[in-house]
Amino acid sequence: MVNSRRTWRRVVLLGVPSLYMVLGLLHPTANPELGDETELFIGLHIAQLFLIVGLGYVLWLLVEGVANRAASVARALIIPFVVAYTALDAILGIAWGIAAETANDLPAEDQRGAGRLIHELVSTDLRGLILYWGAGLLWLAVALAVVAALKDDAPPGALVSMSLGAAVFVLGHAPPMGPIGMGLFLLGIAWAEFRPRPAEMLSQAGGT
Amino acid sequence: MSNLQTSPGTGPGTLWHLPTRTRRLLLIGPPLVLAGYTVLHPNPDHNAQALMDASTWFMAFHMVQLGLVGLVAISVFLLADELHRASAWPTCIGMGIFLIFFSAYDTLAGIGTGLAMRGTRELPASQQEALFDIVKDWPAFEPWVIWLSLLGTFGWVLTLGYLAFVARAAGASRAQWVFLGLAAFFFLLGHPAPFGTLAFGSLFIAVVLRQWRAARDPDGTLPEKSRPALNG
Repeated sequence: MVNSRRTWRRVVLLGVPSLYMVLGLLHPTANPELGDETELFIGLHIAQLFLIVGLGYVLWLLVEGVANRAASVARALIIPFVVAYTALDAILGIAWGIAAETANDLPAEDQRGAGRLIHELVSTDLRGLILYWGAGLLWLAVALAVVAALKDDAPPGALVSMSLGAAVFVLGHAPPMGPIGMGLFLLGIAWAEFRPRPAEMLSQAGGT
Repeated sequence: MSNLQTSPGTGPGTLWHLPTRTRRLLLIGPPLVLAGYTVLHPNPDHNAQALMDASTWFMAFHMVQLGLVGLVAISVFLLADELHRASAWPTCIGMGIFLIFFSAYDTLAGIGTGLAMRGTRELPASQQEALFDIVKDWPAFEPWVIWLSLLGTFGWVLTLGYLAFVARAAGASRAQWVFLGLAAFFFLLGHPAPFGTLAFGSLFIAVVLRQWRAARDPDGTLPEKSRPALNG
């Protein structure tokens, strides 16, 4: 029972960030414009919804059983992060893709206005900045809270890797920053998860 | 993390160690506020001019609703925590699905539609109609959006239905589990008033009944069969 639970935990902890890296590698470097294919773009952002909830679960598992203040902060921030990042994905990914897809079927004289509509979705005014940077900064806040929660337990190298990865991922999930950031975060998780535990070290010492 | 709270200043629960007052505020407040807020849900006529006129309010309403959805999820998690089911799969998966897919639906159909129509105000009338044709299906008929809505609703129904079942099995009063079941049922019919109001209002009544009983009988909140063993 304990072994199966640990296996499940490791599948989630390593699997979700790995899939996120794959998604980042498949993601186009720029959002589709009028006339571009949109199927892959929409599909990736629908898939990302599952990965966002998976990432929330990864963060939850990382602080499972940790009872310090940073762990409480991390748990409290998971839901706001999930909601904000979902909003970002829905507007700049799914809505953008659907708008471009529908606009492709419009008569040529209407397509100019449709292009304006698409760019309205990524407005650089205060609303757009809150949506874009709010989601990214919430991710950074929850990831750093997890790092702080694990600081007494995980190797310093793992914590540095997770922090760097989280900071890079704030810049976006598209390549190159998305896969690099998530890769560093994954490396940190794997380092922390597979480190020798005190009980294992004791048994190794006893066996030699 | 699996220990029950025992300090006198904290409420019941196993996951989040919160002061009783904070816990009750987070339990009761969000469903009440969201129940009231859904009454204000904009319902413009289905044409370009009406949607443009309502676009700013349409967008702002759904931005606020997005935050309230997150708070209601916390409320449901706290309720599940009191029933010692916060880590049960129907709670985690159901609330995870609800949070993700309902938030995506709310953002796309609400914020996206409002944002897009706001940007069309300065265009010629013919282009406004063309752009209306792009976004008019987002709130209800666009296939991708329908799936987001259906999955989000499924997550809510799964969790609330499960908690109604758990509350009944744990010996909660009939009113408590019936209102939890109603919160699941009414949400199936939609999130604007009247059904959204009834859904979140039912959740509010259920948690108030539970807290009222807990306040009257601090030691008898949980029947014996639902109490976890403290020492294995």
